[in-house]
Amino acid sequence: MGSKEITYQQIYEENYPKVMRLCMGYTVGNESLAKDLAQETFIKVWQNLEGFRNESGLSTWIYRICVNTCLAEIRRERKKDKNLQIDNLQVSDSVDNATEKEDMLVQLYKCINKLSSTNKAIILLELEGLPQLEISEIMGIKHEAIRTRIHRIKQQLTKCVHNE
Amino acid sequence: MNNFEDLQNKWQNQTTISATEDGFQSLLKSVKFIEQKQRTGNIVLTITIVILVAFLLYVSGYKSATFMLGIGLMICSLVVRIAVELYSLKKLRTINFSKESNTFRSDLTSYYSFRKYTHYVVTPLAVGIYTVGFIILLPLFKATLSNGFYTYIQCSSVVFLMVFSVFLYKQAKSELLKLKQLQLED
Repeated sequence: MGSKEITYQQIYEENYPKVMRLCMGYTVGNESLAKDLAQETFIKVWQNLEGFRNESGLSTWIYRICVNTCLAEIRRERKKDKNLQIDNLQVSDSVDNATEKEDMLVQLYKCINKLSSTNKAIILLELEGLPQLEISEIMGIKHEAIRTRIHRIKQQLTKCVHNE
Repeated sequence: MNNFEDLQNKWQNQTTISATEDGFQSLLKSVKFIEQKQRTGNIVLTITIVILVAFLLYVSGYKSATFMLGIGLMICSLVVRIAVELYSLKKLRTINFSKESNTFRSDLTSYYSFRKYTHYVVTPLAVGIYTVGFIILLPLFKATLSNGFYTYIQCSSVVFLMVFSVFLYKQAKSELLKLKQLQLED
């Protein structure tokens, strides 16, 4: 393998789980669709790797590609969203707690799916625990506006998971 | 009970698929395949252009004005349509996926707006001109070809036009839907 391939493999191994989680959020837990989106994301990472100039962190750069790939691709699959494939969701926990948490996770996916694609991206990044400044860099929305928006979506999401 | 931090905790603790060596090798294979496909596409395009130029040189020897007009209209409409398609592809490839999401969204919207113009103006015009060129050639076909072959050309052209129109309609419908959804978003 050449040096580009070695760097690429390192990037892939370090970032695959978070890219996959983000794609799962976009596809309402549809694992096969999420895998396709993650693959598409990493193909774009390869194609743009030489253009990466360290102006933002590598992680921010990958998140941008992932969010944009999901934004562009998800439109094709929107009709399929009706068939939510969220039966296989799992949480790593003791057996007693697992079922309750899985139910909540299924509910969380359903509630995320009700958001617009921009809000979906914002809240998925927030759920990942990214600093709001980084989210604003990924989305291209001012920090102050992101802060307000996140506050609103958080309330909306928590209420949705509670009520349904 | 379910405050956001709780949800965040559940989110981060869900079991996701981790990266595997097999997964990476399959990804690398896809990446190489795409690069190979792009190279093959360029070769096919070059061959097509060479064939088209050779054909034009060949038919330029014919003295019939009607033939030249008919074939000229057909080839010109095809060339224009292919050129627009290649330009679109180039435009799509230059959209930078690593840009801020807001900028990316407006680039994508501008791309699909351009495609709307292609679907509503360029494509119907190209199909129309191609058909007119073909109709101009029909009397010449009738005079020079056998009855059976002439009927075959007539029937196959109608089938081709119908299949091609359905294909174009589906492509236009899908892209216009994407544009609509992009413009609907907040």
